[in-house]
Amino acid sequence: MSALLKASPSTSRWHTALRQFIFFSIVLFVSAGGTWIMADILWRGGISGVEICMLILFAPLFTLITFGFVQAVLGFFIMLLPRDPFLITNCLPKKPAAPEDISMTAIVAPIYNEDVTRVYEGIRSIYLSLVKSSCADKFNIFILSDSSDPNKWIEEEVAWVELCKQLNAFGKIFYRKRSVALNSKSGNISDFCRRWGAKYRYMLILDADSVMEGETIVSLARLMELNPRAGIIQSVPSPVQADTFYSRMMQFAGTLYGPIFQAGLNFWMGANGNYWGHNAIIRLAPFIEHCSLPFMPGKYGSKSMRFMSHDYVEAALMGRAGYEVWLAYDLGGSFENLPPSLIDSAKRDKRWCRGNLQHSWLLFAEGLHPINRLHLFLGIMSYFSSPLWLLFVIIGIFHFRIESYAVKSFDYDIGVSPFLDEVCGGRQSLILFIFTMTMLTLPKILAVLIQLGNRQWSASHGWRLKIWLGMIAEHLISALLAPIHMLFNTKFVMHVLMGLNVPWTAQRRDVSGVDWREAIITHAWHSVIGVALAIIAWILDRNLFYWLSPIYLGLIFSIPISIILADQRLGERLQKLGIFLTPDEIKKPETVAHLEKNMKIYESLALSGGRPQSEPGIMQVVLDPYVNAIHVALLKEKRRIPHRITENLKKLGDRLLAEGPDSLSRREQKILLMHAEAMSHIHEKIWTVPESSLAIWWQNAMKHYNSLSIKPSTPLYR
Amino acid sequence: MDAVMEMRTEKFTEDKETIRKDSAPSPSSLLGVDDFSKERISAQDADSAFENVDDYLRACRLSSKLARANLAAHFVRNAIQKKSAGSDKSLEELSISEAKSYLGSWLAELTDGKAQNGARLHEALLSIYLNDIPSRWPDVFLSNCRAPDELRKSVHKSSISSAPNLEFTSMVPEKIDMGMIHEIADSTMDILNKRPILKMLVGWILFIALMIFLFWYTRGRVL
Repeated sequence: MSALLKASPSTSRWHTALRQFIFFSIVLFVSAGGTWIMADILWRGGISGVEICMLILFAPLFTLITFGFVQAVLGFFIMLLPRDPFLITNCLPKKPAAPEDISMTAIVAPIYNEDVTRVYEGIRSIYLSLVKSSCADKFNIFILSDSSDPNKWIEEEVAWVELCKQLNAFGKIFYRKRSVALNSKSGNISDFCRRWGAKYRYMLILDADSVMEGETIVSLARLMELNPRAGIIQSVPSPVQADTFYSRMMQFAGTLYGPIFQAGLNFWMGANGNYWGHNAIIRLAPFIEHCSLPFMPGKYGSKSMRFMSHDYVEAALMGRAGYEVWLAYDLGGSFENLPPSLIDSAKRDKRWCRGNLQHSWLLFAEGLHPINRLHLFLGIMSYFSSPLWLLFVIIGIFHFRIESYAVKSFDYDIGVSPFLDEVCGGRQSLILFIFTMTMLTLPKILAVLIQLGNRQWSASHGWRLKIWLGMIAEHLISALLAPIHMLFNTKFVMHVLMGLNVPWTAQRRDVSGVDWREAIITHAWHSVIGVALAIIAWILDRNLFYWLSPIYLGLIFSIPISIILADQRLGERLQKLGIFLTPDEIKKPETVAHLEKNMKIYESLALSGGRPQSEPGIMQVVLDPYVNAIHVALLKEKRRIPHRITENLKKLGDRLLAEGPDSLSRREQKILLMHAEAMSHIHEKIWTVPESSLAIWWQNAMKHYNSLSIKPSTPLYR
Repeated sequence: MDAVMEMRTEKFTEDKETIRKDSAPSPSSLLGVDDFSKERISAQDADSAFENVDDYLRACRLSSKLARANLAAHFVRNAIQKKSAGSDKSLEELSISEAKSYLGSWLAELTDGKAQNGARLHEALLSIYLNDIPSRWPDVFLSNCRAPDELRKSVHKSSISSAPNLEFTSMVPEKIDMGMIHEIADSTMDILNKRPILKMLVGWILFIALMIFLFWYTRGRVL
């Protein structure tokens, strides 16, 4: 064991500090160089207030680009080595894990109004993969629901029973529904920790669309055992199951460019890593003791607020408590889905933006490790850089106008610094442009060069050419999308700063596409801004018009771009052509293949099953004796309910039957569903009262219930 | 061709007449009742009760139409008897009660009398569901046939546990000093939140100031 611990890089803190010194020195050197050239360009003929503003905006924006560039270049060199020496996984023994090598681990899947079939089929794949690992007894799976839709609640319950029945997994897979969804996802996990945290040493968090190989889960648990100071080990989820043009392109980019960036990230982070909220394993005891989210300053109404985006904060608190946070980027067997369209991606960004900006409260919090502060800052800047860029563009146009009209010496070929003049040959603007473009493009080229030696990509004849083609296409489309993201993020940042509400809605993960109406409503203002920008540039100067074209072209054509990118058929056609193909598509991992097979069966069943009736969950729990029995059994009502509440529940139940589910609000439906006695009573009553006293909705439901299919329409039925 | 059709039609009419005369029972006789009017119910009530109880049995996954019809007729027959004995309840109500009571007694027989009260009935229903009795033993489900031992054992074994036993821990929000920025921002936001007009004014003043600056900078410098 001691030999293994020595092999672990977690013991070499000085090495981490040295690597961080090297990395940040390079970043500082390169970004200072770029900023110097920019200052030199702006300083010609004296520097004005606007030029100072431009320089102030340029410096952080350029540093962010430099940061990614240096990370990728370092990652490239690390990947040329036979093995990354800075990996936590280096301490993993080669022999397979035995059950005694790992402690009890809870796998928790917090869900909120998700596609029940997708979530449960993912869990089925994970469970079956775990069973093969021979350590399955060391793992329990918890589905932690915060779903606000009563129909989803019932669907989840029935699906849980079905899944356990089919896998014989009662006592291995558990389901918990919180009656009050306090503090969103982090509150859900805290609730689990309070109730069952003492039973387990580790907790592996899944997202609703996460899939993980059993072997990966076992390896993560084993890494925890081997590294007692490790508080969190984050695996890197590979994007899979992309169908649309957009998601396939993002999947390709993530798989192709991801490794070199992750290697670079791991180089400077070391044991001061970050947590991305899912597909990561957590040591429960310190998590419970130190990582409960603090309250944020200020109040929302009368309530204190917690941080919406909990992951970065939890990693920072874990680091503050003296535990390490690692990135196991080479582990594989960890997967997630991507948003199917640009609009869905923006919806996700809207939530993340608020969460990340809230982290600004913690930037100067006591006791945090500087690297954790940097993670928080980079998270903030990933959104805040958009309004900065927009401001830079606007001021740049103003500056151009002023300089065009001003009659002063403005020699483009002569700079202020003789040294730069000598180095750049007087062509500082051109040099800076080439320098910036190189920093944006070179990491992608390096990533391709690394992957060209990887036979996993060799799907068909000409695969190398197809990788290059895919990279060029992705680069061009990303350039068109960048200004759209800039405007989206600027809007989200403004919303947050103005205190407008950002609801935490369920993420759409399927591929139902974007219609023209949604695209027009979402992107119309982008197009208007794009047209305005093009007109202004045209009026001011033709050169400016051409220089700004990468910005306004993407904006002007944002509507058709968004529609095309959300097209599933186009995505499939590209897949057939071998463009944007990834190794996980060429040779599908077992869990993903299993999940896809089951989802296809379900989709064919769903298509042949006809149109489902509205409120299917309410219908099932009221009409179906078994579903009602499951629901009542899971409620486990023990407390005595006051008579007044019982009477109100009775009235609600009577209204539900006499006027149909639509007569009750979602809240009223949930209140009814939360009381076992009320649900038993409603079920009893619907089958005994005269049909004429029931709402037409119920009369139809009774007539048609089970007549199309003998089984209720739960997705897990085969 | 027409002649053939004519002959077929004649044959069909003849058959129908034969059925009517020889074996077609009246709805009341189907249920073993001499006359509905004597029992203070209408044929429509009986139909409606039959239909209701048939729907219920279908909801219980009794897939055989014949078995459903047979059981439904049995329950309605019993319900009519209770109605004629002076029950105030509707025929539908009585029929469903009969069905539930039958279901209860069938389950009680399977679970050796454990499925008696309401709570136990729920558990037994759960057992039926968990063991897929309606689909695995369709001929036995709700019939008088003796249940196979495998079925009896599985009903006894079945239970549902949605979570392991609780082992409580305490997880309280971490106290963390967020520094001076938090205090300044917090007090400023407190003041602004308490005075929404002031908050709006500050916003507008900042915006107008920016506009004036841009105007001055462009127009003032150029012109």
